[in-house]
Amino acid sequence: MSQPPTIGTPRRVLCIDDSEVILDRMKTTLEPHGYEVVTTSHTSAAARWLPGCGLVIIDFHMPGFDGAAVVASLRDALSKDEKSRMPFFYLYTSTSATTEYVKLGFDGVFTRKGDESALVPQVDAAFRRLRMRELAKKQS
Amino acid sequence: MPASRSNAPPPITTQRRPRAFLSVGVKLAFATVAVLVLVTALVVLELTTRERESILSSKSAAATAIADLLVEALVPPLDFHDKDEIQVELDTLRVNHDLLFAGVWMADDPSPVAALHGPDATASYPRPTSDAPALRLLGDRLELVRPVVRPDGKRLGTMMMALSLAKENAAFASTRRRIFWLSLLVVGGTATILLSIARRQIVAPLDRMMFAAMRIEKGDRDVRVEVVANDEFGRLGAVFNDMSAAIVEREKRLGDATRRLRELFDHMQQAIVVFGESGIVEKVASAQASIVFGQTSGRHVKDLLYPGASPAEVEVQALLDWLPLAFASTPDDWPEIASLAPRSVTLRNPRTAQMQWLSLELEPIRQDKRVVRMMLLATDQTALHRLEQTVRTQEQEHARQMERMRKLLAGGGQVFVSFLTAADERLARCLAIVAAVPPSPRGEDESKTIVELFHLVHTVRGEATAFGLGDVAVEACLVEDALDALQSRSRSGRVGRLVEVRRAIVEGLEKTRRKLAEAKAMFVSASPVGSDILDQITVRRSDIERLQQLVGERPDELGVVTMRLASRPFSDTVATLAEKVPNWAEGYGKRAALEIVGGGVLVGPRLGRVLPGVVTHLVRNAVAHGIEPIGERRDLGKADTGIVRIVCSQGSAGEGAGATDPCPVRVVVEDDGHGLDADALEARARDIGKAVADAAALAFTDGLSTAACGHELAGRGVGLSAVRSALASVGYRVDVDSRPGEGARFVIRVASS
Repeated sequence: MSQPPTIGTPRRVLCIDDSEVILDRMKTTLEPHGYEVVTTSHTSAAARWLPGCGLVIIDFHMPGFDGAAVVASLRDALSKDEKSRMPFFYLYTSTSATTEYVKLGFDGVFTRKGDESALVPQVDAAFRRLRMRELAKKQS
Repeated sequence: MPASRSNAPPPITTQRRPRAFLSVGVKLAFATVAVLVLVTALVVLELTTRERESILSSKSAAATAIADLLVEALVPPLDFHDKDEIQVELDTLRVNHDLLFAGVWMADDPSPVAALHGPDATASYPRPTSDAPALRLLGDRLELVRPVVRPDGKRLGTMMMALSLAKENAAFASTRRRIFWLSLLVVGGTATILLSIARRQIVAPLDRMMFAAMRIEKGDRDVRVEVVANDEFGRLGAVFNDMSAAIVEREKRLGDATRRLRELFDHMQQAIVVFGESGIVEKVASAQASIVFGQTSGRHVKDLLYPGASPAEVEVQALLDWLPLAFASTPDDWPEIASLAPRSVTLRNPRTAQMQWLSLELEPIRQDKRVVRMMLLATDQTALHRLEQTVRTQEQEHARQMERMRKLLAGGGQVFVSFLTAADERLARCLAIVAAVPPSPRGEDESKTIVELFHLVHTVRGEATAFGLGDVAVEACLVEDALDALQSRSRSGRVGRLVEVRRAIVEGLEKTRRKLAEAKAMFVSASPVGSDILDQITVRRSDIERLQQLVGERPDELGVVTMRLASRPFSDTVATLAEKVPNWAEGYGKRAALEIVGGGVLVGPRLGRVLPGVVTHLVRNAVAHGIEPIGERRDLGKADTGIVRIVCSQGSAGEGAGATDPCPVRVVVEDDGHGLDADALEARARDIGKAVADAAALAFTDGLSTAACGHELAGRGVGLSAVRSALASVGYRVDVDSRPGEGARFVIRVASS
């Protein structure tokens, strides 16, 4: 498990997955690309890792877990400022994602779970979006 | 032909306002006619003036001769004052039809001594003011005055004569008319000749050149104008032909250059397309584009880079967010915007169906600083990327192998071999189940099959994880995902049919099996005895079990060593629990999940015998009593799904001191439910006459249960006390720590001697 996060590190990713193996893969894939990765397999404890993260990637395929409830509870744990800023993404196995996860409260979908080479461009894209949103805010 | 054409190239000089078209021939004719008219007018004026002068001078000469003769004839009668004779002399003039008046005045007499009026005469003529000889030309008449003088010089009187010029004037007018008409004829003829010459020599060649220029403008190659004239137009035509040839030549060179540039682009293996603000591809600039992207024209750049992707996918979202920013960018802020563009993309080649790795560059095409189009340059770097990946994978693989071997050495090869066998059997069972799925599902049965498959795959995954077999675990995890997606679909009311995903699941299972076989092969190849290792380890494991039975529990070194050999990883104890917990919870109308930490920790055989029952009991207890029903949890602000967590860790040296277990462990079973109900426990204790000391301790009291009714899972009142005694029999103890509303925590550790 990683060290508890400190505030103000923008390139930090929180990965929540029920599989430690998947989490370990995500960590070893992303870290060489300059991302700090915080992982947890415990949804109940995930909220305390949230502050300071740039984005959250959630994958829970355990029977009985409801993605919408996880996102809702994590969002509630955020400060007002972070609530509007921090995106939540669902990690999806298929190469073709559906928009149903957006309806569940996710900001978007990461696809091709298990394909490590696909993860980095998607995290890159998510951080680019964050930066673009900041730019748009600055301009307006 | 209008003077200015809307698509005419901009003139080099300042552009004037366009005027109505007027042919150069017409202009020339106008100018010629104007000059001719002017010249003719001058000539006519000059000629008529001269004609009139000559007519008048001859008339004057005749009149002077008559007058002189008359004056001579008048001398004698005037000298004698013979009025009649004077009248006779005057009457001789009557034959002259032009005569208007003739009169003779005596010296100093104001009234004429004799006068003769012509037939047309109307006015009377006064005595001339001067006697001096004079000839006056008036518009319609000629007046002659002569003094009558005797030869000795004596002045006798004055004679005046007026002659009509009507005939001369008429003749003159007729002459002038003739000259005018002749001149007009000359002017008309000249203008006609000039116009026809101008038309043939100037306008026609100019028209030919203009039409030729228009054809060149329209892209007609090899346009020539016929050069026949030996004048400036001939030269102009020749120059025009040269120019046309030069343009054709230049266009050809430009075309060649463009083709070479395109070939260069193609040679660079770059796919280049140009798209507009709408994102639609407008132009394909290199042949590579169709190789990389397939059909490109008219498609959105998003569909080119992420074919078939949903708008919810993060890369698609990032690109669609970026496009408006890029098109609104200025040259100053472009570097920052460019840094936010997608750098690479992985997509399937539409022709070969191979995955290709493309590095991307996006360059703006500006007009007046405004971005009008965007150029996308995609370079196929699949080979390079594969090489990099291979190197990286090899490094990672090496690290993983080391890690695996380390774990195997630490955990005991026998467990690994049994895992390999069991996992392979489980996967084979899964494949058999999937193969037997009927084409048309029958409600409940289908859902049960999915759950069974899920549990089997989940066990494989959990065990593979424990052995650090990441490849196997990932593949199993993907199969799990597919099954869970299917299950959640049937939960949400829609029919999830196993048949629909059968192929994907079979592929996933077979991939998992392959990875498992690879792990086995790796394990065998790493062992110094080759495939014998599988037999040796299997044999040794059964031997060890037997040995342990024979040796029994002995405090000496033999006992400790045997016990250590017979140790099993904790995950063996709890492997099946994780899949059972959600089902148990469902039976209570609750939701719960099990989290296991420390599956790889080794548990000795003594504790290993009681631990599965103990842990199972504590977990069931937590599900039955600890976790609240969903509604209650919602009211308390907790997540719907309750968590039961088992954490196994190596016991500290202090805990192990003096204990019989050579490898002491510490197991914590905790939940996030409502904790132990202290009041209920106390009340029950009083009912059955037990002493009330500590609520927590009461929980382990024999025969004490707070459950309202006996349930299959827990609540028979013997559970926790049985747990305590079972653990005590192997030198372990259990303590409970409960916080109301936050959950209960059972800690199993070595009982200090």
